[in-house]
Amino acid sequence: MDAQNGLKLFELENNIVPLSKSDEKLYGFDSDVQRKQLDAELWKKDIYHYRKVEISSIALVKMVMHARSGGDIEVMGLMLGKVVGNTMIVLDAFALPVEGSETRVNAHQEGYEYMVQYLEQNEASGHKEPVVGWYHSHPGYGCWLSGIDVDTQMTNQKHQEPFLAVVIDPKRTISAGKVELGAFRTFPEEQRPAGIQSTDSDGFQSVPLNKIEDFGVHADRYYPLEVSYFKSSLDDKLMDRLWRKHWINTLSQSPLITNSEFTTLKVQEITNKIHMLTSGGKKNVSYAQLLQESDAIAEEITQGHKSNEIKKKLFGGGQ
Amino acid sequence: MMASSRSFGTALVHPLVLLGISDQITRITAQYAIEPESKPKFAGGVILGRQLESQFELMLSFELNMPERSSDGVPEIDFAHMSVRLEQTKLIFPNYDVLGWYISNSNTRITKEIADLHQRFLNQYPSALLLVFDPTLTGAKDMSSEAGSGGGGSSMSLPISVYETLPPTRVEVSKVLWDGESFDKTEFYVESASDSSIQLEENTAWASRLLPMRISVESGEAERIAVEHVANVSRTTEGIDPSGIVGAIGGIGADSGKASTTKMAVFLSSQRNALEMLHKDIQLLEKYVGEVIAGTAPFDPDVMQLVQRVLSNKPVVKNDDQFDLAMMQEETNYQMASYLAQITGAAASVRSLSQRSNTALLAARTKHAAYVNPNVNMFDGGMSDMMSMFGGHDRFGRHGRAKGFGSFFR
Repeated sequence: MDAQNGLKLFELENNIVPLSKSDEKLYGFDSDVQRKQLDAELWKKDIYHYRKVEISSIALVKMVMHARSGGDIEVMGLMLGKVVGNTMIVLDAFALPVEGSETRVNAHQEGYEYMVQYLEQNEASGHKEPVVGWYHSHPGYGCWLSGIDVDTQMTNQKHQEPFLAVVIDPKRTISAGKVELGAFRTFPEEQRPAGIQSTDSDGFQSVPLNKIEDFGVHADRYYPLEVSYFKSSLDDKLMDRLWRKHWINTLSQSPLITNSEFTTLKVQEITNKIHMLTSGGKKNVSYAQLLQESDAIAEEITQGHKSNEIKKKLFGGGQ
Repeated sequence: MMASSRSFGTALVHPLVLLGISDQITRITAQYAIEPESKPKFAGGVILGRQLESQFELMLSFELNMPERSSDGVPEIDFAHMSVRLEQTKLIFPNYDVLGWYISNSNTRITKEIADLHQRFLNQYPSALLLVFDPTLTGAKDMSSEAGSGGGGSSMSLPISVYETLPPTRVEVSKVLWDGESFDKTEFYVESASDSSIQLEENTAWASRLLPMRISVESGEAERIAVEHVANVSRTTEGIDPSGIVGAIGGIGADSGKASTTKMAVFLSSQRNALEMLHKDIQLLEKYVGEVIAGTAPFDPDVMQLVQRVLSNKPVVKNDDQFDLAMMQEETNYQMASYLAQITGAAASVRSLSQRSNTALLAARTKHAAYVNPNVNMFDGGMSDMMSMFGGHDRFGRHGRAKGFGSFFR
């Protein structure tokens, strides 16, 4: 008698979820369409085929939190998703029980068994998306690919296309108060597309001097993809409601104080680089980059100051 | 026993859990739209986290496999699948334990089916929590309008209810029965496995009561930043062209040029939104206090004490010399920093101007060399002198700036 009544509540077919058409296209997985995309093997015709990355809200939050949980240790995981045209869409991510140190992350042996099992279970609970890439963290030294990362990525691109590499810097994420993430693909060996911009074309990365050697040597072996983020209409509505709880954080934090140490570090870094430039040093540093770095610092400080000003006006007892 | 209508426990829900549920529901719905002949799966999963006395921190979740029973289409929990997933999750997050599970419903109430599933879950994990998620985002309103259930004001905006399972007691049979009118139910019970050592009187049953918990949102540092990113930076899918033909690369350059102005705009608008919320909350409190004074609202000592405390805090920062001094120093710091950045920018512009005019001059000279009076070399010398001066200035500017910058934050 009441089974009927109760069961109806479970059902999703009566369109109880407010989902837009575009959500359906993005979140749904049609294996036929996907196979057609893959069969074309467009990445072989154009090594610069994939230009954009779209990352879903859940994948982003999962990756950032996992990267943060590693502390100073590099952690890594895999991303699930699909490809549409020249865009790679990351729908989900999961962590692998593999830890690296410094710029050494090696996924192949230890994580493999775990990965296979995870994917099996994942498919059982209704996920059809295949692996579209891997992510790992660079705690404190920016988003770029080291020599080992480039080699790993190159191997993966040879055998598992389409494949994407994402790097997250959890430390800079915390200090800048915004997500620091980069997405990259490598070029096949001994191949470079004509007129390629180097890594700094898409946002700049300030790389610490002690890593700049590693950064510079391999910088022309890969290219960055334009990263954007998306959320479903359900996420969007949920966020509206979460915001009711989050505004207190926005108002109470003081970016000037929490970031002071990191700001000083960054300024020192700029000083060092200028020294190097004026003494006719290496080529991996450009004036334009330095300018962007200094502007970014100034803007962060401006924001911090503005929020203090606002708070003073509010709580300082009218002056 | 006294039947209190609200649990003493608090559920600290992390946004990751909510986003995970939202993602699962979105996928299922989207998949169903593509394959309308298939039957949509049920959205349910396991919640992991930590417990500290009566505080439950709901930190992580993973999806459950919930196949339908072939006989009547009622979903079941695939516990074998669950234990494998649990083992995997524990490898990466060894400090988290199973706290309970979640299911989505068209409101945040418990139905007979959910209660049945919960009963099965309790067999594996006694005293598990139950989170009911309402993807229609309307159920929460029902709960808050209903006196005594839900977290009251604190859960008002979130489309979830979290229920705590109390130890089983003896209750009237009528309370355990589901008679179709589950919408009227204000108390939820789950029948426990009958214990033969306990004598049950007629018309009573051995059952656990499910009590709605107070809900609050909690997030770690990184989580907060990521969630803020989702809230403010991410677009909804409307803006993405699913056909996948992305415009020319020229668009990227244009975007990055705008970035610096929009970043400030994003920052200011988030501050504005926060202030708006503060304003709303103060208005609410003001209204409440007014109503209490007028005698139309019940007096709540907790709320009043908090209001009192906030009010007495206010004058602390008034006429505080130390505070003003610190504030002024900060302002000077900020002004210095932005001047330095501007000087660096100016130096860079001068440098690029000098480089460009050098090139232009050189090109012009080679092109018109044949027609130019060879005696005009005096200008040439003057210009290159100026160039080297610019160059010198430029370096100087940058150099000096960085020094100032560095020493001043140290």
